[in-house]
Amino acid sequence: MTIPRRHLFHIRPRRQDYDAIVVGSGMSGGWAAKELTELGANVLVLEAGPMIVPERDYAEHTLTSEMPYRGWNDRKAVAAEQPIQGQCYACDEVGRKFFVNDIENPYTTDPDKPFLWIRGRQVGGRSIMWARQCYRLSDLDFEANAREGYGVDWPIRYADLAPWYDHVEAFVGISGRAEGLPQVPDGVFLPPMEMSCVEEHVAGAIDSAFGGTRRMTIGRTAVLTRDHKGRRACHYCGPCHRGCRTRSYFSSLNATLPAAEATGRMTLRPNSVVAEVVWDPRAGRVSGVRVIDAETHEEMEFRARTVFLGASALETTRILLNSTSADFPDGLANSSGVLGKYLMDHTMDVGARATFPGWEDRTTRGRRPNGIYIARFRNVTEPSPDFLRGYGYQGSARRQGWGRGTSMPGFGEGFKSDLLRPGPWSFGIEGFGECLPREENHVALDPEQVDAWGIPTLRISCAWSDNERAMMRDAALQAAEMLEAGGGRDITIDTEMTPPGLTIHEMGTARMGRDPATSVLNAHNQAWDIPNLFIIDGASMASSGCQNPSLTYMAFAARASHYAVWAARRGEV
Amino acid sequence: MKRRTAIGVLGGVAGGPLLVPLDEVGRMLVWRERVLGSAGPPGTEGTGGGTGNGDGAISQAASLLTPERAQVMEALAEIIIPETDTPGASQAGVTEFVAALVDGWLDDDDRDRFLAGLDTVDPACRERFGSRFVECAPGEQAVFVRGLDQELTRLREDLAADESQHFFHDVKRFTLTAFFTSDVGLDALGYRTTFRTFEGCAPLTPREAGR
Repeated sequence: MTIPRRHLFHIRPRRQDYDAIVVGSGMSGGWAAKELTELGANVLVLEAGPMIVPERDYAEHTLTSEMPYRGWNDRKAVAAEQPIQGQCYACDEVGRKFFVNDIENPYTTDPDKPFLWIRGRQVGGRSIMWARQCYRLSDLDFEANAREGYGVDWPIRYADLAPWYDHVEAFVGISGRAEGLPQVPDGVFLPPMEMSCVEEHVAGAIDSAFGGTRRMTIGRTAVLTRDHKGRRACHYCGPCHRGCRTRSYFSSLNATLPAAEATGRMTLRPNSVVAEVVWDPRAGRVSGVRVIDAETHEEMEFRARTVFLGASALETTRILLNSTSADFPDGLANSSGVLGKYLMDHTMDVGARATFPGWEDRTTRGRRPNGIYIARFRNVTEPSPDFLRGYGYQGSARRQGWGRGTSMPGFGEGFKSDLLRPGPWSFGIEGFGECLPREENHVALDPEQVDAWGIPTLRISCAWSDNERAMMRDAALQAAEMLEAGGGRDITIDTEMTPPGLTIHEMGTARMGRDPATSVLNAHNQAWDIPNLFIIDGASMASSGCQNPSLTYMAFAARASHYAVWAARRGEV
Repeated sequence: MKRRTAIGVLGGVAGGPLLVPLDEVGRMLVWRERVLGSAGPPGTEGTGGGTGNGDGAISQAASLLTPERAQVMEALAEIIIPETDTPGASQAGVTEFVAALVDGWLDDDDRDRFLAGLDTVDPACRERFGSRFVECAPGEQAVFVRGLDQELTRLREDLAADESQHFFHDVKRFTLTAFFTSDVGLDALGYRTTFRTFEGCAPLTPREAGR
């Protein structure tokens, strides 16, 4: 992205208001910036972290010889500076610069309820390190709360969002295969990536063993399988989370922010920590945001006609909780009292692994930045008496590498030549499960702690419930049964759930709904209490589905942006 | 070892009962230990190359991997991954990597256990063969390493034990990582950074097939 220097540094507040301020430059903020500027608005994008320059900062081809610890990470530095972030696989020796410093960005939890809050503060946000899987929600998800009496009913249905999924997918570029499955509706797809031999085989075996009720497909991923809108097709180097100089995977930095920049109507200000949204009680609207410069700690205020919060679910809610006034003593736009509540994440890391004899003269060629997906079948095609909702699986089958040698007997010439050849085929799958919206899973301001910029931090209280535990018990068992149906040997099961947060699908805390008394946002991601305030990230989610959520955030952000411009033209915002 | 024990119990999954209670949400420290503690992060193998010459960031003079220890480590490594038609572990810079781990990566307890293990090698060889490890005959060295490897195998098969506590487990994983992440190791693997396309079911190259 070429951003003129005037856009990077020392942007000062000005007399003339912006049409919109977008807080956050990641997945959601990038979409708001693109849509709003393309619709003619002058937009200020505020990002808490520094500028990322792909040519300088991306490091996907860095060799381990250039890493002092050969890819094992600088674990003492991680322990000192990033004890939370370091638990994410992508916070590696090269990629850890894209994750926050935990000392500068503290938060607290209940002692018996660990929550891992994985964050990226830089232009591009976490869209730089995301895992790129893209699945649509369906009416199975949008109707679930109403059907089962959990949480509040979504104010929209799939038909409301489907055209916006189409809209964002056409720009993002998502490779995948149409399957006709109602629980994960087909989208606008680029050609799918190939399955490996063993994946193909197991997909067929599952289809026949379970009477067609379970479907394995290739993952739907925001990685280009052919050139697309000025971005190059993937070259299968592997570690997307370290950046991509050919822009082959979607991120705001690779795609939406350059599109916004191309309009000439975006001003991007990095190093801008938003401390609060400013409420104007006489106007009954918000007037802008108060910013602390991340480097100089100087405080300043920017004004705009409309404010969009896309700082990530919990950062957005934190900003609102910190924006108090006589009218909103418990946080801005919180007349309902539900702000901060109904926090969700997805369960993960529970599943099974097996080896597969055969296909010894075959291997995968290239490092596919994608895996397989087994669509949710629980409470879709197969009921479960033990839990509500369901889970999907992600995983991959490929030949083992040299790392297998650390747990193999042997040494010497034969050992070496064995490890220089591909090992057995190994297939691991793990379940990603839906988390119910529960009031007790919540965030609030910590009464004592502040971050490096003096801003009060969050106290996060979140734990899995019996429903998630029952679901993951089943996910482990069904994973083993499916691998066994495919002929897998030496099946092992992972039963240990990771703490909430680590899936990095944290969402909720400023949910959409149909009733201002029980929700923060209406059907357009607009605050019930404040017409010119929109929340466009995962905070808005009323339920979690089991699908990776970024695609849905993108669709919501685009939809809300168009609505806001339309409403402004009618004088309603 | 809780995790591996559970896996062991479930090893014969076919048709059997699977009434393993899921733990309460994994304790943060347990999880942290699993991720940061004893193994490299997942997905790092074979993702890069190395010059094998170290990076100069480690002060050799101050290293706890003393020249005597480095000599033992290098000799063990070269026996695990010897020079064949491709270079061996010593040409891959194994001692520089291990020095970096000893001086800046391992926790004190793990470091001390590893170094204490290395320090048992020469006395054991003197007692058994009458000379330091590096001065033993190749056949004696192989016998000695086979003994260490067999100890490891015994521990691995004993679900109540933890083979990662044995210093030779570290010797082996440090050696493999040093070699396979180095330039010479990646050359030996035929490592490539980029690909025109992804193939899910490609025939092996002659090199991969071992021909």
